[in-house]
Amino acid sequence: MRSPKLGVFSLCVFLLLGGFVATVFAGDMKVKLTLFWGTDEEKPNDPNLKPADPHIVSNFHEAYKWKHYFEVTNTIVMLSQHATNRIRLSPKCELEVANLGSMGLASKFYGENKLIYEGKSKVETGKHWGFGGNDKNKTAWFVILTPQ
Amino acid sequence: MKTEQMLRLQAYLDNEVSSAEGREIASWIARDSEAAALYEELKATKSLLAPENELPATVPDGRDFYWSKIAREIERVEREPAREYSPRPWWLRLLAPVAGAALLGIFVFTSVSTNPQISAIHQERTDLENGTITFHSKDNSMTIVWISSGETELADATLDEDDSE
Repeated sequence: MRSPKLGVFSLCVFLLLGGFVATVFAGDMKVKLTLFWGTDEEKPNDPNLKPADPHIVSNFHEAYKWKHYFEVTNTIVMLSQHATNRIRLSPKCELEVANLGSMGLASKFYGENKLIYEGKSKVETGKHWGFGGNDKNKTAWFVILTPQ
Repeated sequence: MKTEQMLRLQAYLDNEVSSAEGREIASWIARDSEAAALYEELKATKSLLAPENELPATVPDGRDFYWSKIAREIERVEREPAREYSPRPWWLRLLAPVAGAALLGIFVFTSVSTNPQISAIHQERTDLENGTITFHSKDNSMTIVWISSGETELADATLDEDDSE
């Protein structure tokens, strides 16, 4: 007959191993980082610019004055829990992103190696969190983080 | 010497003769050197066989006796009333997994609640030179922090590179 102690022990081992595996593999977060440019120009000269996602554009239009928004670049990063990644989005623009697990994301934004913004957000998967500022010639830049 | 005489000497040595016969045998031993020699020999043999001269010896158990002892011990144990299995109370059996789960819960709770990095949905550092205005879209799918620090010229860095070529 199977010992009841062995059963309890097996259950404890199973729960501990399960928790360990879940903790190890559930902490990664895939985040899309996108650099946008807002302008009144309808067709900028840069051929690398792509029209921004219409849903994001409609959100931009709710608050900002620029008529057109273009995607300058994007990258998708896999962030391990409590790990910090530093990503260069353009020669002048760098982003430090940390995965805080259930607490969301932490980010430091550097412009020309100067810390411009530091913040944290419990942004949910599929939603967007970011920051923006004035650019030259009455244009604007935006960096948007989107957990996938 | 006749056997009957030898037996008489042995009986004398063992004190199994009357006092009269004893005196007669004693005078015979005194006269006859052969009888005296035999008497001395018997006397020496008797002294060697005396109980006080025996070496201590332990007779090992016989095979049957050895196994019979084991059989008796088995029977004795089997006759004893069997001890009843007394399981621990249910709450004591649950103590280990419940304690483990509680420790896990405490660890998760403390790692979350004591995390000083964030305590609200959005939180930002306020000691930087830049002023910020936070915008939430109507459908709540986007939050943007506007950094009002003049022109930072970041997004069109790519354009600058292209222009310089």
